[in-house]
Amino acid sequence: MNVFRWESKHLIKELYQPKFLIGASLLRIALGIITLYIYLIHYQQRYALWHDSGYLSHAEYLETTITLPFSLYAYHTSSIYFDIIFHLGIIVAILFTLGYRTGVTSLFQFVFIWSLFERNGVILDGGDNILRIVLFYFIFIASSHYFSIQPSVTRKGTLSSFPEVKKIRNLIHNLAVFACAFQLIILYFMSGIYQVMGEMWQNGTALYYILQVEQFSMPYAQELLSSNLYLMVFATYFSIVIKLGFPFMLWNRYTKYIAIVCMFSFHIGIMFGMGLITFSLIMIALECILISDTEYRTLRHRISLMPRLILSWMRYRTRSLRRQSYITRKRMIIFYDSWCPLCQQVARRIRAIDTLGLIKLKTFRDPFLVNNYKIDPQAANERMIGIIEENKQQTEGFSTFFAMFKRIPLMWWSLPFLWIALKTGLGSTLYDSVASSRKIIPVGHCEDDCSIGEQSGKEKNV
Amino acid sequence: MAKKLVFRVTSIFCITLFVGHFLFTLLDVIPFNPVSAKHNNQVYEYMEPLFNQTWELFAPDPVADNRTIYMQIKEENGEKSDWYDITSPKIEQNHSNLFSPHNRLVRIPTSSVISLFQEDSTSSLIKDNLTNEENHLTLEENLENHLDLHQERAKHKMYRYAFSEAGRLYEETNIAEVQLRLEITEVVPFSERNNEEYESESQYIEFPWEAYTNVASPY
Repeated sequence: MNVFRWESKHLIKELYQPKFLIGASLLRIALGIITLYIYLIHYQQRYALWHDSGYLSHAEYLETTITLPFSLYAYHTSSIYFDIIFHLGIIVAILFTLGYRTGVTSLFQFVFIWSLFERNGVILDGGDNILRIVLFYFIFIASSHYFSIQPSVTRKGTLSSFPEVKKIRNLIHNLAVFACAFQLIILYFMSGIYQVMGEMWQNGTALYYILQVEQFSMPYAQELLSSNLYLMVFATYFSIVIKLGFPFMLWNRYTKYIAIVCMFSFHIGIMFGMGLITFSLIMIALECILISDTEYRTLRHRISLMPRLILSWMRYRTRSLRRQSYITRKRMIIFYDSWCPLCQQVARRIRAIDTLGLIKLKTFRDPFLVNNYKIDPQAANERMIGIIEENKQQTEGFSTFFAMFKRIPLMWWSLPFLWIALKTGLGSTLYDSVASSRKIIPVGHCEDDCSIGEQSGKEKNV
Repeated sequence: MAKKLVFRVTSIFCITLFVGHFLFTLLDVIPFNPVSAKHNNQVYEYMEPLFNQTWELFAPDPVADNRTIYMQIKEENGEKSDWYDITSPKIEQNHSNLFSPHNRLVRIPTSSVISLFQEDSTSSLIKDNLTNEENHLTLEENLENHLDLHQERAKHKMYRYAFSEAGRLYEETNIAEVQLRLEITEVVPFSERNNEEYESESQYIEFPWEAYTNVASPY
């Protein structure tokens, strides 16, 4: 009898490959930031909340602990000791967020957060409860593969030279990641079960009653839901259905996304309707762990395609508008420096976002164009020149920038700032300093003399 | 060969630990049933305190009343102050800015009142074991003692909060004693939500004077 013989080799092989590394790294950052928020927002109240002189005295804290005092704050009552532990906790939270030696910092982060939460249970909620448990699982998670100041892949571990040890480490990482996901599933499913058992949840009035309790209701949410029966009943049943359906929706890729989006909106509702800020943030952060590395990569790829798709869509929608005379007469020609890599890059971007097709970018390095439009090449070299086609009006420097951005709807948001910069002269100063220090690479354009026209340029040839 | 065996044993151990952990977790959090009752002690011992969790979030029956703590201060010369509402200002401050310390500070008065009426995990455990006839009487006595102690602690938390608030209102050296009064107001029932003349019923619980102790203020 061989009890150690695996039945499904494929499944087992998968278990030894590290999974959900991007999700784990994102979750590390999110939980790190949330814990830092808890530390810092209560910095002034730290003595009242967690010290012997505060709401819960040291003696009383020791009385109420079920087991041995596991909190670091329990070992001394002096304020110096308290401050040392509190500030060490902040440093650990920063290191944890940055992903510095996560093997050790994850352990310390758990110990410090546990200590803080254990010291005063009165101010905790369900979010703190799951945070504490998930931070324990994090001790076993490889969370520094991405977005870390010290990625674990670049570290040379002595143990990793043994393939078996590496495999066991991966297995432990995967199980700890699954544990986070399972913990989240248990939370939602059990919460849903308890809701189904309640009479107020069954008859659709539970949210009405909760929002009547001042502590758990924002005045605007109370008004919105109490005055709208349909919304109130829908929100009450929606919260039950989505929680009970959550574990089953995760098994299919598409329903998983629906579940994540639904839970995200549910927690946004709780955050601003009931005012449970950290609870909602923690729950939203935990959704990160449900998305696989492949899904994150696909998502990133799609997001990178989005601007191009949006611009194509905008061009298509504005195709008839672009032919209208009141639009076409706004066209302008901009003379840029085609020998300057930065200017080329900016020109490319301008062409991409010019959805109305009002900007014609031309190089002043072309003698034919310079003669044709009768512009001074030296002036164009110092400051970007633009010509508005309608009245042949010439603009230069920062004014050209302003006139150009006025013709690009996607940049309209920046106009108030640019207008202030234009009127105060700050824009021109900034523009001049960037333009005069730009690098110019005249490769393939001139061999001996790189001057413009008869005067020598100010450019720095590289 | 031995290396492979160690590898497989370790793998099986990790997976078993994972499955076992979540079996215990499930038994701990599911609604009370014969199986969870049978393994209650073992589950409690495994889960506490590291994996302690409860997910009865606003369920099955959500809180449906507003609880307000009032405080009266007796000065050293025996003069008594008016009653101060020490709950509502915290709630209003939280409503005016959610991203502020008040978002958590508001829980101090409300949670201590909630725990005054709520059983803790130890009393639930004693209750679950009451079916055992042999030590029925001892357990019942234990439960009574424990509930008394739990209530005393909850009361003490309320006083500590009140002391902190009193210290902000009066000169600390001038405060002799503090008395508390709890107002519990039922929310307007759903059926009466449009009845403007409906008046919610309020209950009052008065607590005795307690000697003032200096407690750090959050401000």
